[in-house]
Amino acid sequence: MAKKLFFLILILNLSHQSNAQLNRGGNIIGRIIDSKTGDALPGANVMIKGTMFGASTDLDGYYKIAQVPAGAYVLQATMMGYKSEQHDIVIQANQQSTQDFKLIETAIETPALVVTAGKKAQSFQDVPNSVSLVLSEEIAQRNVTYLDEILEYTPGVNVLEGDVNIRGSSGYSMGAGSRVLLLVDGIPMMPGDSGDIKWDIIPLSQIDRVEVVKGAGSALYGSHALGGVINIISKEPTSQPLAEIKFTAGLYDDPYHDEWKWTDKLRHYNRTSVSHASRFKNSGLLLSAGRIETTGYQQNGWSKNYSLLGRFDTKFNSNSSLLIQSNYVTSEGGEIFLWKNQNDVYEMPVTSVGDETNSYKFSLNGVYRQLISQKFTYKVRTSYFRNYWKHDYHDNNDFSKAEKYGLEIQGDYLVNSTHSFTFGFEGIYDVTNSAMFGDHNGSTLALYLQDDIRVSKLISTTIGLRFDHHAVDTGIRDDQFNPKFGLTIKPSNLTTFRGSIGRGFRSPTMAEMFTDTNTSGFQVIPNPELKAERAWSYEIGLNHILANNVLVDIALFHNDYWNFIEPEPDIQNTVQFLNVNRARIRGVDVSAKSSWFNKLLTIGLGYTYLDPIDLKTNETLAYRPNHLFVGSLNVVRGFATAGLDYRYISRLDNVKVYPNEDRVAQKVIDGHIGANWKKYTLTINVNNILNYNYLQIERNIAPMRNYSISLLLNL
Amino acid sequence: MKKGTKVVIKTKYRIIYFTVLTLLVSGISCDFDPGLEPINSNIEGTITYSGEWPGTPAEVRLVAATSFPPSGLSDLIIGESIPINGSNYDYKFYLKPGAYNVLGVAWREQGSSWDILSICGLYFEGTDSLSPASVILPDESSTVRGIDIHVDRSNAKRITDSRITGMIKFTGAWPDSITEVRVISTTQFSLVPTVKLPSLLDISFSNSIPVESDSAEYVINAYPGTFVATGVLFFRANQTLSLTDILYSYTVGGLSLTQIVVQENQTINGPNFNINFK
Repeated sequence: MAKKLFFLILILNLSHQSNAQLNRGGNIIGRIIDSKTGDALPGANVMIKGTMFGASTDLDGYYKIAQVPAGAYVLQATMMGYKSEQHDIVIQANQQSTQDFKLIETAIETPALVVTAGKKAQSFQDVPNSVSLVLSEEIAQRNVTYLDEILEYTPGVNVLEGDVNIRGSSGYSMGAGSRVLLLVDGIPMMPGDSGDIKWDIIPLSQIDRVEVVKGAGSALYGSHALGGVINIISKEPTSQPLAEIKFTAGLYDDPYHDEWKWTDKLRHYNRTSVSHASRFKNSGLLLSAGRIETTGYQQNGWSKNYSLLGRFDTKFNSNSSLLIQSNYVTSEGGEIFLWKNQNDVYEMPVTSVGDETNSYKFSLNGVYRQLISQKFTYKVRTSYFRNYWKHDYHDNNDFSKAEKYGLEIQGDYLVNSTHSFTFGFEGIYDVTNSAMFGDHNGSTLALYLQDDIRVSKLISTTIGLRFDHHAVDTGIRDDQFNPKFGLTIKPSNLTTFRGSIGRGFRSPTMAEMFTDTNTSGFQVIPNPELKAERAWSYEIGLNHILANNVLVDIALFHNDYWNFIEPEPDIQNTVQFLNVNRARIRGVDVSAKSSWFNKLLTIGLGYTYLDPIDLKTNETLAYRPNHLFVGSLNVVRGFATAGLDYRYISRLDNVKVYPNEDRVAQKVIDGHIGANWKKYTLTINVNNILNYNYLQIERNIAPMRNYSISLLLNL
Repeated sequence: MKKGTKVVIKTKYRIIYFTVLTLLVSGISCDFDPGLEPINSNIEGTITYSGEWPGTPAEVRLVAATSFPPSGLSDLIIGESIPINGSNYDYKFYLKPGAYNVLGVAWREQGSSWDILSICGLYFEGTDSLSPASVILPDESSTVRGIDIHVDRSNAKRITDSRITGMIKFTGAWPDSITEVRVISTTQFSLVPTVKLPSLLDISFSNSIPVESDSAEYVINAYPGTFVATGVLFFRANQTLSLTDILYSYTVGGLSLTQIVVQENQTINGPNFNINFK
């Protein structure tokens, strides 16, 4: 209690100081226009580098940054599809300075700002880690049901039945823990029992972009961020009210092999989403509802999913704002565990037909931002996430209810124009009541600090450290220190060299420690003595823009793991999560994005080589491929778009449950065409065009060719 | 821009677009394979049932293994579900070409998991019920018929966490012919007054003991019942299990006729063996 009071007094004291300091700042105003056409560029970002000061341009391209402390700064303007531009600027107390920008359009859609790698807005090229972006346009074009289906086309990322891997980090955990942390607007969105990612809670229509940060991120984000962080940035309501209705209908083709055809009934799916967003003065409101229904392409593959989303933000004044976001999803569906046999891959074992799972998820998050002074700002993030599911299986009626409470207070302190600190406290409390995991609770308390220094115009460094104390009600206590160091060298506006070293860890989830169940003949037994796994990540990389229309990114990475937690079947196939491995995953990531003929044609390529080794047995780590390749080709001409996406994932060398059965590489081509006309957008997709038959994990066939048509109406 | 120039650019765009598209699609699809394929080779036969299950069955499946004895569940190919009840069932078991040294039926009780002891029926040739007969599928289009299997449901084992453990010590030079060593325990065995050999389904196997080792611990996954004989079994290359093996085991000190009563979820200390290869 005394600590709370101390913190409160500190905040009040700083607030008091702010009024005095506000009078000593200056303002920056200006306009950003297209260098060629002279048109205003609304939505461009202007930032004072190394600080938390920034603004976006209005509809006429004007911006204003108020109350900037006197001093010399570098002012940077960025916008998607334009070269970033920066100018030196000197601010004097109580004076107004003007700085206009004429941005040069680039042929490639170079990303502007990212917010995940440093817990604050940074230029894409100032980040010492590899970052990939998925933009809302790509999400709309691919027209999938859940986000994981899109992430499969992100370089260095692959997904195994919902378990997302960044550079081979997660393997397949059977839904009991992820080595990738999922954030929604910076707030962790993973259940406290299984610690995996529930993709159905993320409404695709409300995503502005997805940032995928590769490599250990525990120095800022703690547990789970061992292999990387995925942060979903939501769309914000704009001053123009927007109502959207989207309807999608799709159907599955016949199986490639006649022997596999198991029903004459049409297998289909449909999705509907309705949303409305508007802004009134200083407040914005977004409401959205969604419905997804499918018969599935497999026997017992049906599901129904309904969701509601509400988002409200308000600015109390120029120094403080509040965001509240809530999400509710309920779903029911047949359970697909393993196929009947390799001659009936779309059918289930007779005894499993009729097995169902019912679930719901609810989240309520809040973010309060307060600018205390020109040098200090803080954010308070609160979160609540409830996840409930129940099996209605022929041989199992397990259920689980997990609640996660989170509180984070983050401060950003500007020492001077080249030096800033980010620091904070995070507390998480998990309660699980479960037939499968037992009744348990756990807590995490953490402190973190990151120091960003711009050493010169060319060189920037980042040093960070996070301390986590994790406790479980069984008496297990664990302390983790995770440091990181990052460096960027930017010899020109077109080239950035980067390097980073970071330590990561992941505490075992309730599921990994306490699962005690028997389902469809597979027994999982608990291991309450499980220790946290940890890793060191090393990376060097280069980001370069070639000839104004090709963006190339190359990274060499090396990750060393200790106490790697893996599900280990014993000789009788009884599975227990064990700290089995001393492991290493190293490799190369190469990606390129290019645009040709005045943005008529866009080509994206990504190749990742992975060398995932269990250093104890010298074998390839289970469920990790050696080669990943993604390629995309998009054509935009007037109102019409067309594109093809290809992904190749090499055959898994090692799997654990049925190692002697057939496995193949993944070779999948998806295609789409679309047209925009006034308020309407029509998209037609064909997924798995070649009707290629593949598995992500054993005895689970992936979808055959399927077709969908989607109509979006903007009101 | 002149009209003619526009047409040239449009044509250029189209040519480039379709060239890239064609190259991409043809490049990807020229070595196109359909990926995973069904299995065509199969084994057919009839399963005949007798008796009643000792518990409530969750499912019954066809199983096969290329090696005998299978070292664990991972060596077993667990095939499709077959009816739990009834007196007989004509089955078709799709397996890849190869030699299968174990072909049978396994059951699983409600709430229990698969285990090597789940096997409750095996394909035997003739009257020899000690060694399962092997079946060979020579190529991808082959069908082998007449592989009939009898399942005595009352003889099915209930899977509990029961074990028999002990130590083995080896002295003398290991014979070169030995390829694998297991300790077995059986509920059916006698040498006098008449020789009564167990069926393979009456035998529980231990973990594999490393060949050429000096000593090792054995753990037999057992089931509730009375085990009348425990012995060390030496497998030799290309030889089926027979009385000769048991007699050889006896001569080197690898046979104990001490009765062991095993209860549910119980670990019993079994006999320790001193094997002298002489």
